[in-house]
Amino acid sequence: MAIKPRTAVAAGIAVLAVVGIGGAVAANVAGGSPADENTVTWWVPDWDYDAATTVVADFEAEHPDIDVELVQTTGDTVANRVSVALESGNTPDVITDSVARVKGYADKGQLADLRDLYGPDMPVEDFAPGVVDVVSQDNQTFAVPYRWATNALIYNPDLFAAAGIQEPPATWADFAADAQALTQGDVVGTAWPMKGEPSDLTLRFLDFAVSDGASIDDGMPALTPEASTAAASLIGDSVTQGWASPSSFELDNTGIRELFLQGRVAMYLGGVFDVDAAVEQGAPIATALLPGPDGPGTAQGVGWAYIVPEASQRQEAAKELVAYLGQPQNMAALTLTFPARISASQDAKFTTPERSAYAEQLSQHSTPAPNDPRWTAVIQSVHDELQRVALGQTSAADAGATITGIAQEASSS
Amino acid sequence: MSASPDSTSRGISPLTSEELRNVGAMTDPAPGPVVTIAGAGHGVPARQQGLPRRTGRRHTPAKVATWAGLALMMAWTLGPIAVMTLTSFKAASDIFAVPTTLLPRTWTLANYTTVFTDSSMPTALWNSVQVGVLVAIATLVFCFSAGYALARFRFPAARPLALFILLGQVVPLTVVLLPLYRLVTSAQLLDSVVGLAFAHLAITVPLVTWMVRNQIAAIPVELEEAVQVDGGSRLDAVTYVVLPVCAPGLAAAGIFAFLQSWHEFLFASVMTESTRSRTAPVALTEFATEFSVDWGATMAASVVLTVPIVIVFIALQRYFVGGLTGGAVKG
Amino acid sequence: MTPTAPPRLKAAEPIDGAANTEAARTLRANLRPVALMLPAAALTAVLMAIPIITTVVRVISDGGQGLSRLFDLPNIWQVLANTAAWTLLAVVGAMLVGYLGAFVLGSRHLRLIGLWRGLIMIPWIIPGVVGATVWRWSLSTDYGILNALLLRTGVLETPVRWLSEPSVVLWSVALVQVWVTAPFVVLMVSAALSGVPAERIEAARIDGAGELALLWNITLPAIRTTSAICLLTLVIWALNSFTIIWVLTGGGPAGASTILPILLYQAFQRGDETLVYGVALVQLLIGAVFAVLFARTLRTDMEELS
Repeated sequence: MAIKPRTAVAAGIAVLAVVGIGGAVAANVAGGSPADENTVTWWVPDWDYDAATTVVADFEAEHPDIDVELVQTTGDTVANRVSVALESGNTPDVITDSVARVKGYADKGQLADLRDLYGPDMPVEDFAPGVVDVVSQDNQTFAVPYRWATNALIYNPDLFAAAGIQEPPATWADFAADAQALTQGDVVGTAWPMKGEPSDLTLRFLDFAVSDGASIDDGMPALTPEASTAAASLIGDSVTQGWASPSSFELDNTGIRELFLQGRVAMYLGGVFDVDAAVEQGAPIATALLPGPDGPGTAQGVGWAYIVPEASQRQEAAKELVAYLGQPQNMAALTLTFPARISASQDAKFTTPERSAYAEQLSQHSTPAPNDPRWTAVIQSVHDELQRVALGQTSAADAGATITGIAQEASSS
Repeated sequence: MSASPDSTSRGISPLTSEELRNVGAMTDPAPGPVVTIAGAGHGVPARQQGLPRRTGRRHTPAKVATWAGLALMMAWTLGPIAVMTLTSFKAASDIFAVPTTLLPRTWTLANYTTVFTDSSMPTALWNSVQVGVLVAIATLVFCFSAGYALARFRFPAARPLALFILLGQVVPLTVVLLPLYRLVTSAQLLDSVVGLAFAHLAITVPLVTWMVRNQIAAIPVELEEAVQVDGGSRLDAVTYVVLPVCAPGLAAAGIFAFLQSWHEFLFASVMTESTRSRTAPVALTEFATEFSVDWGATMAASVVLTVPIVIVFIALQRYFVGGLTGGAVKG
Repeated sequence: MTPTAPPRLKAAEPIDGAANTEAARTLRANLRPVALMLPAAALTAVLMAIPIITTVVRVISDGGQGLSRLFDLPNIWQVLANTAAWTLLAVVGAMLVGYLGAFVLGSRHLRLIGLWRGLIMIPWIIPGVVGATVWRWSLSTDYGILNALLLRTGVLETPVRWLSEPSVVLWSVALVQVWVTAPFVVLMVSAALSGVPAERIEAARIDGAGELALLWNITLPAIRTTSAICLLTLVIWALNSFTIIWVLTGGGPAGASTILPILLYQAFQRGDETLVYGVALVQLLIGAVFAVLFARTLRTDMEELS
């Protein structure tokens, strides 16, 4: 019987496995995480990565004693990775994450206080209205926002001209009338992102509700039945009546943008990235303030910020980096939409004619989007309720009442 | 004289010593080794070449039906794949063009260029392969030992332990995520191929243990005993009887384990950081920026990911579906 | 599970003089299984016990808050009904398509079987999010290829809202799940079919049995264990399937295609831990029921065989 060769093979595999695993562990321990006291690890999303490399090079030149290691995250993975890292205590030193998630982490005590970074070099007044409050509580500030933007009205001037409409709609009545006039043939007046992130739809809902009397206090929406009904009607009834695309159920922000670029959607509430995309493609585009019930409506600001985990071993160095990133020129370099600091928005790339409506909306008719985890928990229910109106399963009035109830119940929990 | 158990009382075909040796040694191609996952186990290898082949008009309807069935299956399977492949040759403006056309208006290789030069996909592909192979091998090693013990031996803990292992399969992965992450981190295996492979074992071990257990249980223990009576150890019995006969089923289980690992996104997204260990599903998300997704590149990356695996699979599949393609059975 | 070596040997034709050696060897060999079991059992214990126990402990220590909050959700019954419907559609569909595929590929009339078998695996090989996206494009109401085809050939008059009509959407997403999971069934059943003793089939055929009778009385029973494994795996996959529905409909419209895993993911994304554990426990219990049924079925099979 050939025992020896076979045993040798089996033993060989076992040895290989042990050596392999041991080697991997050893390699990780030796060469892996920086034991160096002053190497700061920064998790940065891939769309910022290239700009970040340049900024980091400058930072390291100015601070020779601190090294920065960049780790790329992607939009899809950032939320999971950050929450798991913070929960486990095995964290990097600086993280770029959405402002909407900051409060949740702060409530769990997972973030370091960055209040002392705000001062003469980085005055709170220089930031867009409300944005620093939204990441603060109890005299502590847990993040430095660097990107902050709202939606505004994006419309196709060629389609408007063809339909004989001179001006973009200034009120809700105009909005509905214009959209109905524009809906003909292959073109539909507007569309809503009813697939994709539920918060996209609820954001537009809140834009309308806040324009009609609701408010956002301490990161939590305070809705009224009237405002909710009016907002639900704009979104839901427009679909049932046909002047918003019935395909909205299958469209997310990207889908709507693509349809707009092909001239199939005449106008919609969109972000400033869409504007850049259209300009790049040479598609006809113009922007205007959001319409409100009787005049300009209020839009909500959303954005991204830098946070420093409480569990970080190198908080001092991390704060140095964040302070550097908070300087206007660096903020401008890393921002695709609008910087959170007003002084940083003087940069040419933020002052194009198409962006002027956004700048005005941001500085004069905006309020920070809600970020209370209690609201985040009910976004899905609100979203589904709006879809029911669009499906014709419920009336806008009933939906308005239901949504107001949901929000109130969430506030009191 | 080899063992001739009372076969008829158990419905097992009698085995001659010659067939037994054939089953073990695989020297004679005629009876292909093939007691696989099936519960049949009723002795002998299937598709023997000695069967008379019936030809003639009587079989034309069956032939037509079979080819029609094949055509239907291929259309169903490959329709979306065609969309995927053709999209990979479209420019960005073409992809969302309305009305949709299947074929690109202008064919472009730009997406493939992006994948190969501007992304971590090639490295990620290699990482995925490494992780998958490790997972497949480790799974088979663990599960064969456990499955064999469960199938052959009776000890008090056998039943509850077996059921416990199976329950591991039904746990939602999001629940396992944090404990597993902590485990991998404490072993300093974060951001490594080995660490991820270890995590993936959580997905593959439970079911594969049962697959293997059932295969082994389907082999009559008389075959192993015959080897032992002839003077071999249990290990010999395993090597010369169990392994060859199980080989097709083991290969299927190995492929199952590989593909489960290949697909896995949640653990990979959290436990990999750099290109050192990032796997393909995670690398795919690179093509999504904050506001838009480069679908052309994503589709091109998918094609790049799929083609090698399919080729390897086609090349290897003869080894696990045993006698079907062997010998004179080809039409 | 009937005891194996020693009793069977005693009942069998005696091998002269071998009995004592066998018995002695078996005694020693009984120590081996523990050693063999240890790696797999330890691994599984570490990997699985901790989360299972953690889940149960968390739910109980919260005072069952996770479960009560879960069943307080306004749409919980819709979600449970959707989950049941989805699982049924996806599993039955995949079994049917998978068996069909395996039988077609097992036919003697086919050439290049290796190639077809490789191609049929592709839906299982491509990344899940890519497959789901391609189907999303194809099923799109106004811009998808399926509607375009059906309209042009006159099968439909108005486009069907595959992904946005509440009464249709579960069928559409189940279709995609079948597309993705059927190759697994083809793989397993093909391997199993090749183990069915051909001479029994031939003998029955010579005796005049029709194809259907052959199928029902010989082939299917012979691959019963594989069928059970496929069923269990498909059920588990259906109960945990997230990507397909998320990409296709996001759980909509208005929750019409939301199933338990979607609910779990939504809670997970918001860091709502209590709810996560509540849903996980429910999923665990449902899955455990199927697992136990599966184990019972197999045990009976094993006992019948030996």
